[in-house]
Amino acid sequence: MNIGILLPLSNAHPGISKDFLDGFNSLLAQKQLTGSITIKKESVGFGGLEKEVYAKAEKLLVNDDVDILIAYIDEKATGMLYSLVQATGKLLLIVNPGANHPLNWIAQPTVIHLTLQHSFLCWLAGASAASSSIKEAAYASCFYDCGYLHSADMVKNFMAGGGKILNNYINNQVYDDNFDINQLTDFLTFKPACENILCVYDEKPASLVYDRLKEHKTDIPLHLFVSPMMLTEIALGKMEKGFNFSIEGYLPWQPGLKTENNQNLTKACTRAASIFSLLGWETGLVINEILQHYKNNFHEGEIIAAHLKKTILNGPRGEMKLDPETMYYTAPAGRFKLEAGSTVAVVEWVTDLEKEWRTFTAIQTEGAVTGWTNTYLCY
Amino acid sequence: MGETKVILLCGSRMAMQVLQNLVFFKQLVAVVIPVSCKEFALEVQGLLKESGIPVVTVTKKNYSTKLQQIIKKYDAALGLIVTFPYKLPASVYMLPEKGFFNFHPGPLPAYQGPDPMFQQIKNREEYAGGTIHKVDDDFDTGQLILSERIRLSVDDTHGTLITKLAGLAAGMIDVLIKMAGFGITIPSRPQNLKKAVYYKRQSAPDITINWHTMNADTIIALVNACNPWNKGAVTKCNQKIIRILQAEKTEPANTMTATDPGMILAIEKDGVIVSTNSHVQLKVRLIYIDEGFLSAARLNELGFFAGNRFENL
Repeated sequence: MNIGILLPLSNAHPGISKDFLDGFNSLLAQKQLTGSITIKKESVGFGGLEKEVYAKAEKLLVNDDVDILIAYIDEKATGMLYSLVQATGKLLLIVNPGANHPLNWIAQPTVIHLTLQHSFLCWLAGASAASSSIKEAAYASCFYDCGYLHSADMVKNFMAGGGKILNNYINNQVYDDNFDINQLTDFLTFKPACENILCVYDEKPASLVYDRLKEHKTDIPLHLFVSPMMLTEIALGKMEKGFNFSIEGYLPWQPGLKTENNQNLTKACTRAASIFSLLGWETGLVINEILQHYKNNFHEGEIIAAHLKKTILNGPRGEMKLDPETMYYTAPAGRFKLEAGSTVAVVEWVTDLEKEWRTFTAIQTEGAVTGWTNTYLCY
Repeated sequence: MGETKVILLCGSRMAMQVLQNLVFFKQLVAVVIPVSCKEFALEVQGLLKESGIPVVTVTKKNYSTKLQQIIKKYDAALGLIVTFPYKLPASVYMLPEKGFFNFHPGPLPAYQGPDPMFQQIKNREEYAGGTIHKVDDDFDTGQLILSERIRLSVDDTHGTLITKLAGLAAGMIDVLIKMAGFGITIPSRPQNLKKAVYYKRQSAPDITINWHTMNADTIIALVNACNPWNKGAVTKCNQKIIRILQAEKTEPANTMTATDPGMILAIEKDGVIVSTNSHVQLKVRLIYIDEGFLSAARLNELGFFAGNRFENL
């Protein structure tokens, strides 16, 4: 099997491609498939240049004639590749954190999406905030994170559940010691009844937000409803004394998840396991499934996709199912809760989110006219 | 966005969102509309009044010559068609450097023909499709560029489907024009003409309810497929033509239904209960009749009663 891979760059997460390939290659090695596959790689930078993404994809699919193209690119760039895969009939596997999602969820027959479901998990966090007894909240994000649909999904679902946003705070500062959230804390001082905050940040700014928010003194603890990247170990830090606010949200995965398949991942990888190596590993699982089922004709994308729709894969996150309507892989998610003052987070893994996923993907996304074109976390 | 100069040939509101996007991205150099689409032409002229973009109306006799002139005059690099009734000769579609493309509001090759929206609703498809293809010598036969689908709800009318497909067209054409701006040969594939189905423009039998052969679901689909362009699906009662614009299935209240399709069982406050050829009843909510667009419940005032029958024409 000849595989082409489009790989991203990121200043914020410089190990992104190495981790992805580490996860991918480790899975192939464990399944003893390394000799069955040739891999051709191309870099697509931060993924924001559609022309570059297209040119590299065309090179791999047409000039190099790979059987399957794995593209670590953002949802916004995928439409550019549809005519290519429709013309070639080959399978395209889109990989990314899932911070964006299609405006039209109805899938292409040969395009599969493997993501961390960030927008869906933010949408669930928005529902959690709406189910709180306090229906008013502030929204906090940064210039980067708010440019993806996960941010709107959290806010919209909060509002759909009867919530009201009292204040929008967007930080555009460098993530260093001078980082402050004074405008947000000023608002919270002015409006002490606003106890809930919807927060969407990548892990580094998240740790800064948590630190600065610790310094904000309130009589009643604040409640933060947060995006998945705010629940990573880097974001939360060591939590030695806990926080003077509670944190709730959903996360796709934790390195310490005690499933056999996760232990396989963490042991097999040559680098510390990350969300990127997880995505690489899961991509390898998809390729493994194809190789186990087909001996040749790997370029018959529609036939392969039809098989994958009927197949459940067991990955580090648990069962991965390919939703036949959207062609997105769905997986269990962890419902995370850390009470104010506690150092022990409770994570309850939810395996049946099909009803919520159906509701989420049935929503018509409107008004999404601006946003970053690069892949989330590639900046 | 790239600098691709686009000429747009269109004849209905399905093109409106595409047109607005092209104007926003400063890519539109001219719009060509059949003279028969007067209201649409006025709407577009109003929209483009301040823009300096010409809106040219053409007839079946002069469109070919005029198109050649306009393409050359404005140096259009790409031609786009979104609902334009005339077939382009090679002398026109070969002119733009980056090609001429048609957005067809149906999947190809399964839904060739002038009104695939009507057929997709009538056939009760779960999804409706949109296709961009290269223009060639015939209607809807050119090489395929891009196909996408959207959900088709059982409540969708011809009108709501046009709105949905207009949005789909705008997104797909956005991708097409970006790709054209890359300076590449846009990938395409031939249609599998063995799978081609050509649906002619619908004629009277296609828009008429047959109470004996059609079940409740197919009647509702036909009603939706005829709304609003035909003011509803056609039937007859007491020698009067009635067009049904909105109907839904309802729980049967008695057992007459299976034996008497088309029978008006009751005229209620919110609609007329009609039997079908199965044990499912229809509630007709909205009709068009000579007296106007009316709630079906008002049939009482016009001398229709329970026991009257909707009949085949």
